[in-house]
Amino acid sequence: MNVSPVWTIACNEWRRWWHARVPTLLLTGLLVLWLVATFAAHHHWHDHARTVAEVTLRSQHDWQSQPDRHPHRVSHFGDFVAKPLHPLSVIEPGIIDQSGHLVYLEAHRLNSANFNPATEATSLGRFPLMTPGMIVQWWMPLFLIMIAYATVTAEKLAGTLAYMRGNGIPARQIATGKWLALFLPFLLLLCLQALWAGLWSWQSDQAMLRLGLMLLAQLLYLAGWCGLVVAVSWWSRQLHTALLTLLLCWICMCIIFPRGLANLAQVLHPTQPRTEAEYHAEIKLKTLGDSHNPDDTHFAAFKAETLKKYGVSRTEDLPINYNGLVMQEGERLTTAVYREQQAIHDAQLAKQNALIRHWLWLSPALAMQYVQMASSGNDLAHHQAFIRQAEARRYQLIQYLNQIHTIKVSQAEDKNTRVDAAFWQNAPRQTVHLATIDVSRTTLLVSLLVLLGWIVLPCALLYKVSQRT
Amino acid sequence: MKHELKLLLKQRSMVLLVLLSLILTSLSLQNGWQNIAHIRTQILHAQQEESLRKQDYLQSHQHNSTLDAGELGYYLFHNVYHAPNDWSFIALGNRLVTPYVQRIRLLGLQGQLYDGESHHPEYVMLGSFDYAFWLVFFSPLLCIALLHDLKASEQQAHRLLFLNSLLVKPVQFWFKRVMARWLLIAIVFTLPLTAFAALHMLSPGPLLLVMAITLLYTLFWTILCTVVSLHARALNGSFNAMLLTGVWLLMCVLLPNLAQLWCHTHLPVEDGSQIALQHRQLVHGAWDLTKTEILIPFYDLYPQWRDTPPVTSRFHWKWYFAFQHMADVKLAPQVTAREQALTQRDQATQQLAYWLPGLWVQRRLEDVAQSNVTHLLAHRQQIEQFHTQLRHFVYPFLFEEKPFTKEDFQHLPIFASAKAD
Repeated sequence: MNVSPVWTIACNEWRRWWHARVPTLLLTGLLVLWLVATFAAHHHWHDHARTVAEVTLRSQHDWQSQPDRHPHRVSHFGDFVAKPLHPLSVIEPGIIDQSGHLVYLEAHRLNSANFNPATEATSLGRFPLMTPGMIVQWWMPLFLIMIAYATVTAEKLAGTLAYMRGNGIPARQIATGKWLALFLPFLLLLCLQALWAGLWSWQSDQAMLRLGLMLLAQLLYLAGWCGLVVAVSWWSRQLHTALLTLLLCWICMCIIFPRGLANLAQVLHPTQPRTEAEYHAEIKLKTLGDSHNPDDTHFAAFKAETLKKYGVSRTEDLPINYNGLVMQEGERLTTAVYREQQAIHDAQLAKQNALIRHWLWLSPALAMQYVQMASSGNDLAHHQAFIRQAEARRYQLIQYLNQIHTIKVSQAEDKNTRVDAAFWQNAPRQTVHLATIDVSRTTLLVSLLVLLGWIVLPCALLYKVSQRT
Repeated sequence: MKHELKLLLKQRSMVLLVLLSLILTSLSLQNGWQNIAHIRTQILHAQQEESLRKQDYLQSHQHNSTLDAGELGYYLFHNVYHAPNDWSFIALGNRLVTPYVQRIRLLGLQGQLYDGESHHPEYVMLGSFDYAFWLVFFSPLLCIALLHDLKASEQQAHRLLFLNSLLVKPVQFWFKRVMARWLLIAIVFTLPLTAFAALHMLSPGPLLLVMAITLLYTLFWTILCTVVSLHARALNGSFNAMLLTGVWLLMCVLLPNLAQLWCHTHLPVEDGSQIALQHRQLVHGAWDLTKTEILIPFYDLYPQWRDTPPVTSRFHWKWYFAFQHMADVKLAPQVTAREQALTQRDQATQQLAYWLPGLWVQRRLEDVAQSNVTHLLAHRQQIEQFHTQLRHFVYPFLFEEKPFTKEDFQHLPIFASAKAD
């Protein structure tokens, strides 16, 4: 293809924008919006980061300053973990506000993450939060529509399109030129944003991969929009038809479909309320065996087995503390039940996710948001990974304490013993890390596929309509 | 006016637009209704289950046909419900996030209040598609679509001069034209609403209120659009559309965001996690204190039980529940401060609502639906009262070491959700 006419068309388009003023004004508006969003998102991020740091510091301090205690007391004292944040959250905070950011880890219980700021938001919180991610997802397409809905229609109406075609410029060159004119400024903006975000987060883990994926999705998304705008503009005979059609597409894809799909998933596959799930876990625990009840069949068998293993006839004769062993066994059983419950809950959410993914092609905006959320570490998969890590830490910690109970506390003096504080200070408390982006693989794949389809579709449309004229 | 409406409805794209909007309004109502219906069934289910569970508890925890009050306090959960009212479907607000059933037992309350519901967090993040959202965000767009080119379309069709020369009373003419459009917009929003209210036989009071809010809000946007598009030099339709969309963006997105930012920096709220951490410290620290260190301050609060049998054994439930409660008492100032800060934020929102029509509508509708942070705090207050009621019911059995009979069990307080008036 001869490049120069394409380039000329693109330059012409920019010149026209410059003279019309309105597009320049719109682009300035977009920049202002973006600056405000960046500022707001940074503030939001900072708030969360501070909370996470405070909680981590305070819970570390509380844990380390425990006096000599009975190990079982310590396991009930418990430990707090806060959800780690990726610096890229500053672009897309995702579910930070909704998922809760603190988990209390204690013996015989699996607590959920609690304290989500969304609960206590005022009516202002019901307005969509402005973030750089949102700007790309919602406002850039809208501004694009405003700037360029007339791009081909106006030429058609003025007769210049027929003139150009008459002069032997192929339709695909005109289309490419128009598309380039629209896309290049956005490419520049997105690259600038990525550069800025890269500088901001370059030390964090997988920063380049995450940022790369985010940028790729944003580019595909906006490229698709540019294609759609040119195609619709070419297809329309009147200016207001072009504008209305494009606005309708925008409203459906950016606002109605995402919300509608999420609602539909919730209605078709409702999650079990937390209180129900907790109750069912308790019922299940009762059938498994009660470690506090000496006549319980499971623990009677456990006792017999332990006695046999050590070759003694009474628990008092054991070289270790039998109560500690019972605690270990009890924790093993309860943990299995809670993890099963957690798996059921995850399966319910997975069902909802599957439904949304099935219809994701309806809304490339949602697909783009999924990629942005996954790459900034704020989607459901990352949250679940956090919960799993917290649970692993809980189990390890509690079993360590039970182990101490077994070997460091004599059975005869069980209730009166206090174990040296150094044991807690050296307890294993694995740091909870942000999961790798690998956990969101499925979402990423589906979303990127949808986005690929999204740029193919308008291009095909454009090709088709441009052949008509 | 009749002519204007006829003219309007002759355009196929206009009819399409109106029909689509009507459908979407109905959908938004239906969706809100579905959400609330789901909450209602879950609450009903939980209520039925609760009474069964309590009977179960009675069966399995009896010793010689009496119960241990301490065990009862520790093992028996009581449900508390955040029940929606008839009109809650209009604005889901924070009902989307808050748990509608929670379980409370006699332990310290602050450790139990803040668990989240097991919703899909991404779903909550995307937000709901309810009437409030639809009205606040889309009625302005509809107004813009219908009204942005009042003069400009005439100019484009080269009719404007002709029209101007014909008009005897131009004000009346344009007034009619604008009113016809406003009527159409109002119908789009109120017709499904009325039909919906009639279908479900809802109370007319809130209906009138919601209608009034809707009419006022659409009127506000109609006037705004009219001012812009009837301006002497407003002859470029797409410029008007862009200007109005800019205003819409400003009013419905940019300013609310800035306002929230301002609110959060000027009225900081201590993060709830700090309360959880301190609560844990207070409750678990109490095991290391002597019995008297716990009980003396407790008896200062409840002198009526000072002369009850002293705690001599290593463990006694009365001491245990006393320190659970003392943790709440010690945290009370922080909790109150936090609630006050939240209330202040809410009041600031109220003040801002006089300047931002979108916010005003959202707030008014949330008041009707009782799904604002005010209602959340009121609900927490109710839970607290219930918890107190429960404690006061169980304390005599604990402290005077009276036997807790089956008869007493039947009189245990049950959470009554304050029905909305």
